[in-house]
Amino acid sequence: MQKANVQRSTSNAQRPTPTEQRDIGIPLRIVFVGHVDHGKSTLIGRILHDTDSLPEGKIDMVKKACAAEGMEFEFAFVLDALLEEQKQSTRPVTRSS
Amino acid sequence: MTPHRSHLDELENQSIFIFREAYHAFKNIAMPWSMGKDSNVLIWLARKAFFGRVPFPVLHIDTTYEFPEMLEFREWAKEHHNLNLIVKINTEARERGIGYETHDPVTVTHELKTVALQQVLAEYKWDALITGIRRDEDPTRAKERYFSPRNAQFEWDYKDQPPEFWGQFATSSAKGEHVRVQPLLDWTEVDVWRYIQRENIPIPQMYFSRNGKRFRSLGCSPITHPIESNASNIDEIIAELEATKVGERAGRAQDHYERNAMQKLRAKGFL
Repeated sequence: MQKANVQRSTSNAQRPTPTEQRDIGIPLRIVFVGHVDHGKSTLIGRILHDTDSLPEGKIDMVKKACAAEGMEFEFAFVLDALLEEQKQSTRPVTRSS
Repeated sequence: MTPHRSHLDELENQSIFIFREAYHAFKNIAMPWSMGKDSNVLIWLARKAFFGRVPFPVLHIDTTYEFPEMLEFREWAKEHHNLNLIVKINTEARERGIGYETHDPVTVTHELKTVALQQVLAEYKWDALITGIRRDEDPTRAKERYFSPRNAQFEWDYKDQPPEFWGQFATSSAKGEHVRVQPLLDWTEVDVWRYIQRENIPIPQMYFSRNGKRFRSLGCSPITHPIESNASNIDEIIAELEATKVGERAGRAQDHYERNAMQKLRAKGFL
């Protein structure tokens, strides 16, 4: 669905500068690529937390889910919201420092 | 400098593209309409996509626990947008005594919304439903597709969802199955408000502050709670949302009834 962006990037004259992009409210799109269980969700969860981007109560929900699975705190649960995804996290990869 | 297309223009174009793809691909479409803000944006976009008219029926699943003001809005908007409105109540469940007075919100939501939808879909045999869900509303909705298949039992197979590379969508369904077409997936709550403001889209007044409270999300009256707010116009609502740390659906009891409540509801066919 990013056809419009690809087209625009072929023409420097029309491409917004980062400042313009911010001013006109175009979101910055970031993609995380990695092998399964190598920490994509964990990294994103941690970034959302550290940038103060999570809604109130989200961390408490994650804590409850971790407790129910008998795990230490797991930032990946911010994204891995389905029960199966949470149960699949057999190896904790986050340090809750 | 040539003005750039704004982010709202991009979202609008994408949604209209999805509407037209769906209209081309499916024979028998309906659009659930809750009269909430996202739903009304959906109607607006449908009219833009199809030259001023909504070319398929609009469906209200009436739980019988609707806010009277929402029903008033429904009747007004039906005339205003010239809608072919179908209203469905799960009377069988109500006669069995299913209700918020006696049952938990997950059970009632399932019976009066999802089962009602099953009943009306069996009657009209729609092969696609256009929904107004957004990825930022809820973690399970975040994993949705623009074209999201449901089997004949209404189940969402979230473990095996179709990829959607290069604008290629799941546009076929076997008998009894249907596809949920979701043009607003990429919109955020603030995007919806900015668009309502830009286009001057009619919405129920319950979203605006009265006596220090307003509804941020609207559902069944016994389980939908207003938030403390003095935001009485769209500028104030946007300013409030940019500052708040509270989730949009915090006032919707069925979401928070138990761990994974939304997953359980949605896997069985809830929007």
